[in-house]
Amino acid sequence: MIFSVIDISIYKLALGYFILLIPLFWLYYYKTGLVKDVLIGAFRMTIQLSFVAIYFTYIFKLNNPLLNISWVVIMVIVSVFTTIKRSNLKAKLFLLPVLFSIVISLVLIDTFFLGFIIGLENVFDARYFIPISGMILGNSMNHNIVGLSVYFDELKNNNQLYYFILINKNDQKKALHPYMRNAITKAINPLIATMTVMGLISLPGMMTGQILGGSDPSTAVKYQILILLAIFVSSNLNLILTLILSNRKIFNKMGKLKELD
Amino acid sequence: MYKLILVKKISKSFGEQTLFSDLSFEISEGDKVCITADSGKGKSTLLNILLGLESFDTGEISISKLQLTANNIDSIRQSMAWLPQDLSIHLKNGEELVELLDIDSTIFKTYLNKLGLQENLLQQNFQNISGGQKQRMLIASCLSLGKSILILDEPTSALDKNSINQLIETIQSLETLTVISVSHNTHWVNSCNKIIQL
Repeated sequence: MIFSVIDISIYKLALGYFILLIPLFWLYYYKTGLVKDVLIGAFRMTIQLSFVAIYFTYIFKLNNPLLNISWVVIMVIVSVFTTIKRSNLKAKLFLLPVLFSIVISLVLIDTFFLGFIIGLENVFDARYFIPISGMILGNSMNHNIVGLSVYFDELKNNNQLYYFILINKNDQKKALHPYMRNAITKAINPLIATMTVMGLISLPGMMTGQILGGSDPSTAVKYQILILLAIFVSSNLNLILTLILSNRKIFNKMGKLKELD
Repeated sequence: MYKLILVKKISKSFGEQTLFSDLSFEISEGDKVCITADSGKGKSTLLNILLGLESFDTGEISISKLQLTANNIDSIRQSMAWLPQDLSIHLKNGEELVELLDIDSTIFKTYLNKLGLQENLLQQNFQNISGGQKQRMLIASCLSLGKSILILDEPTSALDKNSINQLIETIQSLETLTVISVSHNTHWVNSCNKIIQL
């Protein structure tokens, strides 16, 4: 059986934007102040993805490891700054912890899944390296933003427990334990929920894309399982590393929390 | 008596506002001390300085023969327990407190009883117990740590007269325990053998 994908014309794509009128109406009606943000978001998405289509055409054609790595490095940098900005953190304090954590978790997970599990001869092959790294980065960025926001909001606004344990137990790790647990739990819960209902009420984009692109469903499912595992592990690893590395920067020598805003 | 805490000519200002300057005092082992002053005059700040949570501008402090510096803070805190003024501590229940502080639950229960609390309070949600119960439970946990210095910031703020008496009795029975407190309660202040007026 030969699969073919029905292309979408530019006009049909433009028509697709009309459906946005529904959420825009409600956002306007309830005076959420988000109409402009949605329009900017949709505009940016369109421009960014259009550029991606152009870049990818050449990147996939050239398939040069250095070029592919450079592309992923750009994704990492954007991901680092987005994480810091969206978590309302000071770049001066958090740039290195967030960067190191993302790089370490990405290198580890890419090496394991692309090199070992899939067994690519060239792990920097553009068709695998860029989209899979992108999916890992995007998901683990969202996970990190949730975890970091919870962690630092709690530390800023409810730090009585931290100081109580710090002084009485004289153990900073133990004093931070409840805050770490809370951040990790709140960040990981949506991922667990996603895995739990996968295939029942949610068909993930990667698998759907592969099937639409003509892949055998069982191959698409296997890739999807691997990518979900990769996302789960890298997101968790990324958050824990960011928290551990940040903890070395956010307290003075006496264990007092520095100004984080 | 052994001079446990020596404070020599310390000063502390926040911007233009001087909280205290050239403040000196000594605290001996077993002393029950109360720091008194009008509101906003730096009582809690002084406690935070002793805990290493606040810096001071000039002077020097030694605790258990160690200078209060970043290098010595871990050793100093080994001998300190602290009850904060703000009781809005986010805990599940008393059992979590036992786990986090790694305290002996038998000793903890003994102190709970001395302070007029029942053991079954440990299972109750921390947010659902009264301020007075919470305060006594936290004091009991501090006492269970068996440290030699206990710093109490407004330890009677949520307690009734009967509970204050039980607390005073418990504290006074621990002869070698050095207590440094801040309080506005006359009964508590009178029970202390040393008053430091800021």
